Amino acid sequence: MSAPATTADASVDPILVSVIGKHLENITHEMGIAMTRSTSSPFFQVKDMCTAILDERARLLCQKEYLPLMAYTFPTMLEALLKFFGDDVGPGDVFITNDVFYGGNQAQDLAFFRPLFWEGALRYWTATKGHQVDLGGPILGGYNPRAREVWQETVRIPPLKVYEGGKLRRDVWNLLMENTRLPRLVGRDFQAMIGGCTVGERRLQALLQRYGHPSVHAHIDALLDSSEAMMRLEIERLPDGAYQAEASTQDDGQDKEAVYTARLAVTIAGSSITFDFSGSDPQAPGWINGVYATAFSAAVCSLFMCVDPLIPRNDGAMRPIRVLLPEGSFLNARYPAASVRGNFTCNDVIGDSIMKALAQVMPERVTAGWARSLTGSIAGIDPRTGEKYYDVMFISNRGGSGGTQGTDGWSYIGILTLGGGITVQDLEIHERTKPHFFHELEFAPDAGGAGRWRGGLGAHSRFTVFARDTEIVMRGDNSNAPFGLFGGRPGRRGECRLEQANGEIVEVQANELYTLRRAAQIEFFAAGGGGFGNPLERDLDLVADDLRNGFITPEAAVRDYGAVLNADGSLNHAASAARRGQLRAEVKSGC
Amino acid sequence: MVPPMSLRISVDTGGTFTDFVCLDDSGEAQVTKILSLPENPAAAVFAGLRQIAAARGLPLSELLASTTNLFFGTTLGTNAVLTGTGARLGLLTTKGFRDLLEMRRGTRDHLYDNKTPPPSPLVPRYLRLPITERVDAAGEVIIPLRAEDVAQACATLRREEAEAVAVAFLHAYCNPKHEREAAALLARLWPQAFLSLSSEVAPAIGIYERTSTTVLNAYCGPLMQRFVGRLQEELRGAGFGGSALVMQSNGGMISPADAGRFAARTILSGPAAGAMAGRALARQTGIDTCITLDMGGTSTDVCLIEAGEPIVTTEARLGAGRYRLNLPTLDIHTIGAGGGSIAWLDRGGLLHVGPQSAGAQPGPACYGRGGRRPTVTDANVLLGCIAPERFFGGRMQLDSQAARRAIEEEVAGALGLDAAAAAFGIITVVNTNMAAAVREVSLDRGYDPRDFALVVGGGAGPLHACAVAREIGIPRIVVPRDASAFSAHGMLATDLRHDFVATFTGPLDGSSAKALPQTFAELRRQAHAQLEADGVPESGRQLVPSLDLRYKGQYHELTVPLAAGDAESGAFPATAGAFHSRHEQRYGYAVKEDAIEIVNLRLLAIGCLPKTAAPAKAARAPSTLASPSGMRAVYLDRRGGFREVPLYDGALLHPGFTANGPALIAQPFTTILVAVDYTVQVDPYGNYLLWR
Repeated sequence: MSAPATTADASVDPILVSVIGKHLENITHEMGIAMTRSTSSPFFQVKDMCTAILDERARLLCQKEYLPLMAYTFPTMLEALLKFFGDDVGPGDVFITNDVFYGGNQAQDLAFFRPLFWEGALRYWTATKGHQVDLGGPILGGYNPRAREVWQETVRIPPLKVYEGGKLRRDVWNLLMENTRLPRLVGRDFQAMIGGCTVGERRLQALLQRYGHPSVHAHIDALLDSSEAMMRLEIERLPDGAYQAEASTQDDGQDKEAVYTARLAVTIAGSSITFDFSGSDPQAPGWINGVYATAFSAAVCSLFMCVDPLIPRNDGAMRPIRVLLPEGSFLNARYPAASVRGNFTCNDVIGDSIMKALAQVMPERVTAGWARSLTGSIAGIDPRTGEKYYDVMFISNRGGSGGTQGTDGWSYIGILTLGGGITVQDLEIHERTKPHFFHELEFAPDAGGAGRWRGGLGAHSRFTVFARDTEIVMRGDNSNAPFGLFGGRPGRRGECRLEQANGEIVEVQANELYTLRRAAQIEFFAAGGGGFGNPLERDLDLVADDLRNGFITPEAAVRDYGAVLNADGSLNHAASAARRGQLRAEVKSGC
Repeated sequence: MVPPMSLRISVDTGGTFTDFVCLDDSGEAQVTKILSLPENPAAAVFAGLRQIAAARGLPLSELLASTTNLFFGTTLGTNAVLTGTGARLGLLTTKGFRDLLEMRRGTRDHLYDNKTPPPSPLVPRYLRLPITERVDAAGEVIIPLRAEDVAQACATLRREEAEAVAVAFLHAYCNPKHEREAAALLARLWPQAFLSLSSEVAPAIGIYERTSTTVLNAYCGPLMQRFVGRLQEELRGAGFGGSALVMQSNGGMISPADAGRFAARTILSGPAAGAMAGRALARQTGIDTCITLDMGGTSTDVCLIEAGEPIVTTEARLGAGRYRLNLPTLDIHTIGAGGGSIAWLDRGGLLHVGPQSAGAQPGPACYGRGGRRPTVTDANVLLGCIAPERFFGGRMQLDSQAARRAIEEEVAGALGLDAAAAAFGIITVVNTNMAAAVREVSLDRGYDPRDFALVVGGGAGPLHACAVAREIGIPRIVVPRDASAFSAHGMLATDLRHDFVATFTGPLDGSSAKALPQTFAELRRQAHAQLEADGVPESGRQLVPSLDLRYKGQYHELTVPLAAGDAESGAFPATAGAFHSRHEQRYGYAVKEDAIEIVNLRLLAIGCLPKTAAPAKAARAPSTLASPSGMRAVYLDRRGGFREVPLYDGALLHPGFTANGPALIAQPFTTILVAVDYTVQVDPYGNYLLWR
């Protein structure tokens, strides 16, 4: 049972295609492990990161998308890198880049790329990408709601060599470390990311050693072709045509009333699909702009959620997909626009518009609206240690997902393009390591939009911040509620309230920075998902369960679901069924 | 006339088979295997015991009268979790935090799958009852416990006909006062209820993981209590006067009473026994770094053994990953790859094997019980690796035509391959999956698998041993003499084991010198009380202290054992160095100038049990070495196709026997495939050593 022959003609063995595909998956997974196990960063700890293997033409061969939105941006970054360096790529080099105008998606989402040379030629790249706590710029963490241009956000790192021929470029390293406020933390995470690339390179070399380059190459091509075939099969099932939808966001960081609308036409022609965002609003003067990589990634990962989840998410699967993003729009802003909140914008308006458009052709696959993005980051000094601390409100910001045919949405899951990635820190560990004390963290009843399939619930939380010199930056969208579909109701929109120690209460707006006095209390309602289908058609047993579990209040049971309650508050099945029949008849007769 | 013997018997109840090993005091082992009876596991136990008795020409009562120890590995807990048949229970939580269990730290496993509904928690929300009380992160009481809330919760749960209550309050790991108060109230108001307190079951920081563990304990507890209760009673009635013990997930034994009270500790009972078999084999053969791979009918368990000890984790997940178990558990990685794993093609034409299994019913197509989908066993039959007439000790007839048909219809046709090539593809894919599992337990933890020997057990494992080892580059393989009853064997080589933990926050320097010995003293007191209750004399007790450490600011800890006397003195001269070097080994770097912090104190309490060493036999002179009992046509690779391969009868092979591959060695319940470039040798204990 020796290894298959590695002939130059490399006739494709269908079994070896599966085997090599699994090897690539394992390699990207091992690269991720190298990053997470030894990290000190709050972002890698929760897996705000991705790993990938690409080939010399920047084709994405395999990725481990711990966070889907970040994942599909490896090819654009590598293309920009190759364009800049051309032939100046050698064995032992390691490249770093974060820049949104060199193919990146968000300045804090920094990537390392390592070339793999085999038999004297550049063949593959291993790459790691992860959110950084701080890379420098006006505000710790990089979220500056007042930014109007890229230089007011985070230090720009166009493609650079950190290692050249296996030797660390100390000058480059020093420049990077002198710009971050937290060099120890960031330096160690850089090491972990480079380590991840090295792990990937070694395992790929072993694969090449075993099967030989021509064979590995041919079988990877076959794997990409198979993924393409799977995606085409999914698209072919859909009727040809053009389907329109829109989604908006409000408040660009400069003007609370400004509204930006994404206008989408999805065209299905045979086995190809095009997402055309021409006609979307022009770019904003503030930080909400999307850039190409982010918008592309948001579109692709929204589609992947509506097709067979077994399709490998690689270059092949993306071949039938075109995404048209007009330059100068708020989805694909021109240099030197500010864009650090663009991840959220693209999640919200691209994800929503795609779900709404596809609802017209694949109603059984789409979901109603997920929680719109809304979160805050808190930076201050922990009085117990006297040291700076930084927290993204991952514990509080989890909203619900939208209902879908056949199942309710997930509660406490987050936004669409996260897909349920990013693990929230445990509350007890949080209270030990952050100067926060929670009074409450529970599902918010009625947060999920009513529907035959109910939206998931968001969290309701209240906590006191015992820190000094504390600021909170809020970002996202608290103007729009997650949409319902096919008669389902919208979910509850996100809200945040701040109560200073002196009793002053502030309704917190997205895209603002607030200074907290000591012992201020923050109350947060994470948004609920939208409902799917007419709530009057929801199975009465499910309504009774929801009522009994307190996922819905008695008022909502009566108002939204047509329920009639017994004296003890439980659901009266017979009376409810009769009342719902009557209500449906009234709707039909137009009363 | 049978001479009086003292016997030790182990029983491992698996999904498909129940395995028995009976060891007499000369070290001779008798292996029996019967089909499991999931609906009545105790009946299968007695059926097997009767078979053992019959083979020895004894009535059951005499067999049991001469048995000193009975060890049980059970899938009772796992199955209750998988099938949702545990106890109806309530959960008392800190008011304002009753949803943390269902929030699952905000994640789901399949990022793109919007059609799978969210998992239902083991306790629905209306049975999660808020209690007014609050302790902060420093252990200070902020809001006292409100007794009326407990009384009200108790009334609600009785009305709802619950039979168990889990109590998990915030920060109870560092101050259990409120949980104890609530327990005292519940015991008074509702003495019949099964009680599970987070501060007793899993007193470590992490409210989600601790709650989940406490709930699992209450969920499996009543069931386990009934099972061990009935089994003990019936055994006593049948004449058993020895000691019965239950295998825990940590690789040690526990009394039946504690198995009932702390059922969560026994959930991975069976797989842990397999890992302990690897440990025993490591001791016997002197190969003390190895990876065990135990491939049964439905799944494969993989565990790494370093310096003679299996790795322990506190991050296990159960029920297809849905439920977190935060107890020291042997770090066993289980994948859906077994003899019954089903081969299938996705829409892109890629071949997959598992995780779905044909199980015992209908079983693989070749069982002839109505199974139509091709499995790994079918592929092995088609390739000639399994001799149909010898399967399951010759007690089960296999239909090789049905195996061929299933593979042709479901795989070969669509791929444009002949049946043998398709079957070989199925084997290659399942081997790749198993190799990935081996990488996961090794590379994942920073070990190079090539430094380890691969110990392969389970009924299906020895056929795949060479291919999996080659895939990873592992040079040495050991197939134990009784590979097919690997886990049952493991139980005969274990001790009583109890883990104690206390959360402790402080730097690893002199400033902790006072508080640490006090906390360790308290853990020692608990340990001695436990071993006293187990009836272990002082001379048979062993206490092993360790610390969970990390660099200040890190999120993952490493457990570092303490040198003798350090736990008493509070001075740890060598511990920092040991931590740095362990970190370097696992993650590739150490930061010597960084401060180290203590997260938990741990104490492992071991109560030694008697063991019987297997007798070593001298090698025979070459002239008496066995010759093959026949030849079989076996498909070894796609270039060579079928080739005639010598088939040896394992029962006739003696220590010193050596052969070069290709070869098949048939044992009653398993077959070893020795690949072309491997050599096999029988060691003095009857184990098979293979190398390249």
